[in-house]
Amino acid sequence: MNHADPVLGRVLRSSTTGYTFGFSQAHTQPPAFGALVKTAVGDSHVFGLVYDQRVMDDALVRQIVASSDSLSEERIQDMRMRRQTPIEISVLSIGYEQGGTIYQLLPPHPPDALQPIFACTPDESRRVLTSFQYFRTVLDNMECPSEELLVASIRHGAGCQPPGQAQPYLIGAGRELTRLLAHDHQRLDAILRRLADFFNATHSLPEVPYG
Amino acid sequence: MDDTNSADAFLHALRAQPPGEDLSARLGQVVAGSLSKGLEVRLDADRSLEDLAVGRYVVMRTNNRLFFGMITDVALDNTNPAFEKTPPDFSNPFLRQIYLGNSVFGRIHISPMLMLDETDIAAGQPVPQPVKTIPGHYTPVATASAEEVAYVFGPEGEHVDEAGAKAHYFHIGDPLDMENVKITLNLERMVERSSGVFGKSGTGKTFLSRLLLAGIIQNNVAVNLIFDMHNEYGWEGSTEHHIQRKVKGLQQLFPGKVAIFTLDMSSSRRRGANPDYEVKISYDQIEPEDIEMLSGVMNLSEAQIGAMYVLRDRMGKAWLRTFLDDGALEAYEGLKGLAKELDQPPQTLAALRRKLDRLRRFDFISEERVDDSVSRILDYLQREHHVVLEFGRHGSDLRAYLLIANYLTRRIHARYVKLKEASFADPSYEPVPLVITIEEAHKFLDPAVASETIFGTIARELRKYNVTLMVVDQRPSGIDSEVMSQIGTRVTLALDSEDDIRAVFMGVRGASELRQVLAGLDTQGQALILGHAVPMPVVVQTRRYDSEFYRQMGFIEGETLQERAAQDIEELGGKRPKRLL
Ligand SMILES: Nc1ncnc2c1ncn2[C@@H]1O[C@H](COP(=O)(O)OP(=O)(O)O)[C@@H](O)[C@H]1O
Ligand SMILES: [Mg+2]
Repeated sequence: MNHADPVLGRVLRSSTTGYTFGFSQAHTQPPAFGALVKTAVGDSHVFGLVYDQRVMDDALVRQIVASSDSLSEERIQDMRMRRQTPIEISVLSIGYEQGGTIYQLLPPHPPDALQPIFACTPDESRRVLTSFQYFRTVLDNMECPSEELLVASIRHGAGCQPPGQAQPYLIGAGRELTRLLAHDHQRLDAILRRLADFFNATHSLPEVPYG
Repeated sequence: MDDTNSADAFLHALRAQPPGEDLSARLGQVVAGSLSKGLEVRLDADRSLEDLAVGRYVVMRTNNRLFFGMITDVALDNTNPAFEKTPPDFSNPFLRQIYLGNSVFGRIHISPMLMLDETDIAAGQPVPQPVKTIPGHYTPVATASAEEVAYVFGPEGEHVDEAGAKAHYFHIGDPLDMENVKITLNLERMVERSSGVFGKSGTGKTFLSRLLLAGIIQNNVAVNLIFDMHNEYGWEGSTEHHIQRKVKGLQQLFPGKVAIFTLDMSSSRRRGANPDYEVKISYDQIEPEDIEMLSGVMNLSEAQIGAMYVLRDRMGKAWLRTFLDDGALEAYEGLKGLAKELDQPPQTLAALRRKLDRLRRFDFISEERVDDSVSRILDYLQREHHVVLEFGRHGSDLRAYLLIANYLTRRIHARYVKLKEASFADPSYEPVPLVITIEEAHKFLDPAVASETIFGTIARELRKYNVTLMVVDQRPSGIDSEVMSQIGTRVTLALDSEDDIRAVFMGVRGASELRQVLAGLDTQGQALILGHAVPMPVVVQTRRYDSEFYRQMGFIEGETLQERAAQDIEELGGKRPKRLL
């Protein structure tokens, strides 16, 4: 992990399946729904998908909202910079890297409190998301909006592919889903149709042959 | 394709190629099945069902064997029946690419046909064997290559096996969707048992039968006696194209080997033939047995048939002539007196007489003593001359056709039985294997008469007496099922009726699967061949009977008949028959 990477925040709570961290980067956008983030646990890196972002209120915000004073843009920005409770971002762990090998499995241990969280580079995302075993982890998770998350992460994965590879990537992912969701035709169709919209917008290279 | 090289190429490729490696030909993989019901194969995602017709061969390679099978059904399948109720949006290219071949896919049904053993392949001499097991789960399935198919059927021409026995492989047609491969049929095996050519009218039965007969004649596999109901085999046949064109008959192709006999000299001459012999029979030669088999077409009752035998017992050989002759009946004081004397109801005799009287219309039945046609035919056959008996205008009268075919065959068969029995003591009496060709075969072999007629007997006794049948028929369901199950090689062109289709598969293993294949044949010129003479069932585009074929049979345009005949006779080595009777 490159320590020049900006720290997005630090772990607040964690469990084997994921963790929640407090976002503390005042000047940047929080990572998007479906984005891949990483953290260190011992000598391994744990990768996870962002699936929830919670903005909490505090006494100040409540007071401002309660008062009928007109709010200046300056005041709003100032308040957001100095918020007293952090934005909480929840992450679903989907794999880890150890000794240079990526495993799409739950990590042996969750990150401890206050571990720093980093965004993954496109290159890292591509490497972690090349195989699709993690689909199962997402689909089986009851806490996250699993269909939406899967669509977002596949789009994220497709976006990290080299030129011309986005469409084959999407087709590969879709075919994996036909296997996983063979028994649940409606869920399968719901996910694929969302991917289809994205696919059509991806004007890359010609259709990939079947197989 | 050079045949020996192709066999070598096949073996070489087979040995070089590890199992399941030929990806270009790969169709899918075995997912389920049984030896008795066949194999289920899931198509690979990139294979389209539309490119796979039933009847096509596939191969399955395992570590120990190479299996051959035939596609006998194609089907659409899915991983979830919900796809049938709520189809996905296939107008969307993404969804189509995802679903097609994965959630919804093609499935083919394969009937295993035969197998080659890997150890034999390694030794260079794989012999096709019947399948006794099936390839395991997920064995890759590929379309059979031209080399593989050619290897199984064997190259056209003469083969001599280790025991020194000769076999002639005759090119009968070409596989569908496959170039440069000739499908061959083992003629010796074909004539060893009775064979059949079936198909509805106009599908090419006569043309195909003529091809087969030409093969038998050219290779001296057997002698033929052909009951040529519609005058299509002997001198000249015609096509049914709007411009009627003539095709050469067997005598034109093999002038020195084929003799034309006729029942109707003037018709034969008019058609340009020059018959070798005119067949006549006399009333005194006809026996009740000859007429009994016409009971259907002549509408004879049991009582009337019985009366014929009584008449013969009383009057001897001359029974029919006497019975039909008013003058001769005087001696019995007319029909009534005769009835009394024979203890037969007078109405029965009167009705019988009315019906038998119709035989007088046949001018090939003579009042006088005539030459013995049976001996004449046998004479030709024993000299290995093939005999085509033209019926001329009598061919359109089923009674004449049945009477003559039955009359001659009964007697020829009887003599074959004698010759064959004599040959146990002196092998030189062994009669030349004889194939008798009959069109409209169901008339001779329908269940009501098959047990009594000579044709039923011949079909059932196999080749015990060196006589077998080639039955040509458009309504196989009319043929007695016991006879049908004795028909060793069945060549079937298109058939419509379910009953007929069921009939041609009588007694064939895996028949229900082949039914789809038969149903898929073109209405002309495509045939499903199965049985004794081929290593596995096969669908062919039949060989054309045309000038190219004439040339391959040795016919030279412009060569005079005399030259050709002289050559044929020389080939026969001037064989003289051994006369017994
Ligand atoms: N092998 C063939 N070679 C050339 N023409 C053929 C062949 N098979 C069928 N035909 C054509 O089909 C027509 C019908 O064939 P035919 O043998 O008379 O049918 P069937 O005896 O079944 O009624 C022929 O007149 C001919 O034009
Ligand atoms: Mg015909």
